[in-house]
Amino acid sequence: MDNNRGPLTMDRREFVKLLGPGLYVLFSMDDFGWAQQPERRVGSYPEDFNAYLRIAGDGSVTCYSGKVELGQGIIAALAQMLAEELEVPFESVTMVMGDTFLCPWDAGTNGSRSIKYFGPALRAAGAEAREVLNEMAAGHLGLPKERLAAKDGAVFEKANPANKVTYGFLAKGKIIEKHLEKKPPLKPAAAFAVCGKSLPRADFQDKVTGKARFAGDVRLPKMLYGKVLRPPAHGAQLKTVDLSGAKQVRDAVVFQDGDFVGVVHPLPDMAEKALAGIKAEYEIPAAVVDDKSIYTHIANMAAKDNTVEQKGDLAQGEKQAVLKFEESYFTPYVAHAATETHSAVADVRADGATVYIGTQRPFGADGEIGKAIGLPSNQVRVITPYVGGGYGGKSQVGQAVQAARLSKMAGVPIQVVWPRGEDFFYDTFQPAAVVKIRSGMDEANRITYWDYHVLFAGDRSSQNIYHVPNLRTLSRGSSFGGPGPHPFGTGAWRGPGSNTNIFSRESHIDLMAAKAGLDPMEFRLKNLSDERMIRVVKAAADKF
Amino acid sequence: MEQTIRFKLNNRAVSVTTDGERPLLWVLRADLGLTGTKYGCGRNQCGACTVLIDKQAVRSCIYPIKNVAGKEVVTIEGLASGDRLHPLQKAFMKHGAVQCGFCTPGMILKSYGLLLQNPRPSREQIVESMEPSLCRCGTYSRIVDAIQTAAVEMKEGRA
Repeated sequence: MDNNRGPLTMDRREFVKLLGPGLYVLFSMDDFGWAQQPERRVGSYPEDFNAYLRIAGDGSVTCYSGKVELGQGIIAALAQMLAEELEVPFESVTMVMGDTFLCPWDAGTNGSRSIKYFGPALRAAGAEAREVLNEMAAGHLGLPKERLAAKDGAVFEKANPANKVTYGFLAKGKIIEKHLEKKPPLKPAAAFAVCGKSLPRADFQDKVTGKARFAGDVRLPKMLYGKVLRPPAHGAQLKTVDLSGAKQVRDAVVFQDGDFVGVVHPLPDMAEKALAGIKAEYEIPAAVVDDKSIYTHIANMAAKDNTVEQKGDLAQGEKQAVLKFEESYFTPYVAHAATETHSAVADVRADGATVYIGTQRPFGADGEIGKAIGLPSNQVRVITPYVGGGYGGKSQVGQAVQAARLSKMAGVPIQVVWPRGEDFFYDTFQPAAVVKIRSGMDEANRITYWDYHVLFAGDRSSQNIYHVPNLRTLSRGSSFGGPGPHPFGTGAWRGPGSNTNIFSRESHIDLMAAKAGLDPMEFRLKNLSDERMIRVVKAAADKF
Repeated sequence: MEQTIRFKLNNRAVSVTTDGERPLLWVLRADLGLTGTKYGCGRNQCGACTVLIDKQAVRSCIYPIKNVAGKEVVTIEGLASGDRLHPLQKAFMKHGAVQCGFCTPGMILKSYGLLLQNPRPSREQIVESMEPSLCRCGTYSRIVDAIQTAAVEMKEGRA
């Protein structure tokens, strides 16, 4: 890297203006530094295609995504989407995911939204980069753009494919300061050559050979393993603590900051042993609910009802009914229990922190960690290695905050891997829920009314799919957050809300069919009018 | 009690001096730097830490290091020979029997143990043997397919 740092002193676009039009300026990443990457914005995807991709001199492509690989396979799918639009070989694309200093901002990897919401932004970046490279190639080859086409990482003359220039030669691994006013259209699905194919995932070989690195596999020089003292119950207050037992374990060091107590040790199992030597007394609040009383507790909890859908007149529907039904459905708390427990390694220094986290939410984690250790979020670099399953449960980064606090106190990198018990205890569970349903059917076995009320599980998939003239769907309270109506944290869990709502609705449909002596499949088909849903139900029945 | 334990690890002689009661899992991961063997529960419940000891699949999280003295331990890092993957590794890739990949090393070692005992297991025998190993992503049926494919290749001596 040269020492001419001139451009750094002014805004990049100002600098480009000074150079005048007609020049394609290429910037080295080093000229900007990590935190000053193009458009590092929070809250939306960047416009600048450089934020998504870089093409090296040898033609290899690096794709940057704030989404993370949890096992769902986007490490291949996103590479396919970029390769498709950019016109480069799939094999030439390497994914860099979930690094807050390198990747464009992202809200988090959840809700099956990676392909649907990040995908279009990535494809648009690939398409624009391809067109810009076409223009650069036109200048280089001295031919009008219309006579050129791009394929396999090169732009060539359509009439003479041997006359070509590679992307690598044009881009040289640098930022391309050239953008299009009018964004090129994305390829139609019919023209896909890379997408829609089953291609090898770059993570597979690492994962079958043991080379794949998860947060708990990160090893840094001088790194120690940390274990944190935990209360025996939610809401318990630490009264007295005796650290002497932990200090008796050779090489163990104990840190205390108020009620935050942690032990660090060069060996993880010995850190746990030392932690077990701490004697602590707590004031434990009396439990308000248990696993039996929780449903009454939820049913009695007041909150505003949100009307999800309403049509017809329920009273009218009741009059038409010859058979009436009223039932409640209950679903329990369910843990995510990813095989990898919450894990992180934090290296906190005076001028910044680097934190490796097995997380679904690297952006946001940076600020949360920064707040705990007194650093602005742009001085906290979160790097996401492979994540050993999340299912909605790895959006919380408590383990990373603990690692960062311990690292700040210990002055060395600290790894915190939650023991399985903690992973269950501090999970954000799928909320326990109560669903109350009233319904009825007429002499022709048609549903005449449907009165549905879901309590504290969320309204997703609560909408009725059947043809019912008189219906109301209500959803009470929030399913996320806590403690509150729920005695501990709750959150997204594999199709949040849908598990509870579809279980309840379809159980009730089965119950109606059974009580009326009808075949459950026939009863469903009789009451469905949506053609697409009829096909879904038939397909499900075939597979069942 | 601190003691020196000598054993064979992935075909190499190793010796560690440590408290003999410590679990093999943590000695592998921390002392010896082999992080392919995973911690999932520490309580013999999930199988993520499975390794082979004298050709038997064993859960390393509850196995005291002193008990491996003089024995032969194989971890996921010891399965491939150079760049040549073991038939089980190839089959897991081929069948997409990997999602997050965290249970994968334990799954592969557990199935390797099965195939060493019973080179031609039925599908039912595979399911029965793999039952205690947990995959939260839900790759179970693909894992069974992969083991069947690998069994054929291993039997034909292409390992």
